Amino acid sequence: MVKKLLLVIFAFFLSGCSTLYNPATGRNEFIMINSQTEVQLGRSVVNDFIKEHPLVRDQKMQERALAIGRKVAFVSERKDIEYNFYVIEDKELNASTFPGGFIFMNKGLMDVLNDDELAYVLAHEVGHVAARHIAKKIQSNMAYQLLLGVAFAGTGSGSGENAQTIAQGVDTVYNLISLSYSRKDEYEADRLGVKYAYLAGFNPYGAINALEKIKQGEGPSWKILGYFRTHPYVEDRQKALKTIIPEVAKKK
Amino acid sequence: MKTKIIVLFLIILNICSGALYALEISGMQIMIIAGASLKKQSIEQGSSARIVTYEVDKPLDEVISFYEAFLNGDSFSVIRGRQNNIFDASVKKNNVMFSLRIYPDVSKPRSSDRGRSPSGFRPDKAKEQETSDLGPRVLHSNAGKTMIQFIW
Repeated sequence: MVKKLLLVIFAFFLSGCSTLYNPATGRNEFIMINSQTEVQLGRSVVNDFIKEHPLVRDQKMQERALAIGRKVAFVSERKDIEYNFYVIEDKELNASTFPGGFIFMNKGLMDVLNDDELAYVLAHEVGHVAARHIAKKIQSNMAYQLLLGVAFAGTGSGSGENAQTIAQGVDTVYNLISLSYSRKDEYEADRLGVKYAYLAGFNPYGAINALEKIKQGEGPSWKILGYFRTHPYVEDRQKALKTIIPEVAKKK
Repeated sequence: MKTKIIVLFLIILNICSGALYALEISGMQIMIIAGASLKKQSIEQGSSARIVTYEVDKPLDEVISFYEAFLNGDSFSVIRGRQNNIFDASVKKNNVMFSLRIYPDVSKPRSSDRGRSPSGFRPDKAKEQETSDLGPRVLHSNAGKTMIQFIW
């Protein structure tokens, strides 16, 4: 009886909601912002980010990130946006992903990872984009009007008198991006990352090596530094990856 | 001038074909297509965004065309819009911003629509349907009913 009642309540809440079947996650999800709005939102924030974090001038390094990034993005389920990969001048071992598929790798990470490891890190970030973790994080933690305001600012349609509000909105988005992902999102991005790296022709075991290298590179404070500040639960993830990798390889 | 005439024509047409009413979003009146009935009002958990959904017994294409003309005629800024037979746009005019989605009603799938979940689509299980980044994109809608959703 209780189960039936719960089902009725569940069905009531579903009716009238336009949910999305997200092929990356395999779930129906309610995402309030469309892809193009997400891209504009990302563009608004990225413009400020690049001013504060200059891109590396080493063209070969940029091309390496772009080449591997494009390969893993090509096999992802989300193809309605253009993925952009950049390397910034920062020694910290970290990567940042902005709404709309703007992915930034720190130079520090590029220096220590081989191609298979880099493919996993980039594919993991692509996984966050494909699963729309960032969009969900933002829509759950930010006033919708402010979110739209920032997105419209990216198109040049923002009105001048709102400049301060928009700047606050950009800060809010930036702070949300800097927050760590949930355990569930991290596992999901790992699963997708390993899958994309493998499908793109890279060794999926690069994932385990990459996390180990980052841990070692960060030293004893690795839990609060760089990559693991925004991508936590690393020890559990390493364990999970050992199970995921053979499963992914078997499915091909 | 021409666009104002189109908008005026749409309003008159809307009045003639049934009751005209509007939804107020941040002080701005947004026209609701004639014959639409309120389906659901809610506040998105965690975000405080208001979501109001209407249902109308009109073909999807007609409803999309109606709102395209309304938004274009009234000089709204629009991010995205019609894509693959659905409409999904972020809309702005002055300081009023909202999202508008127009999509086919899929709450009661037909018996032939195997693999379709109550509120979403499984493109991997149903050949005649596809998905987009926002949700349902179908080659035929359910019994001609169309959903109109405002989020702000």
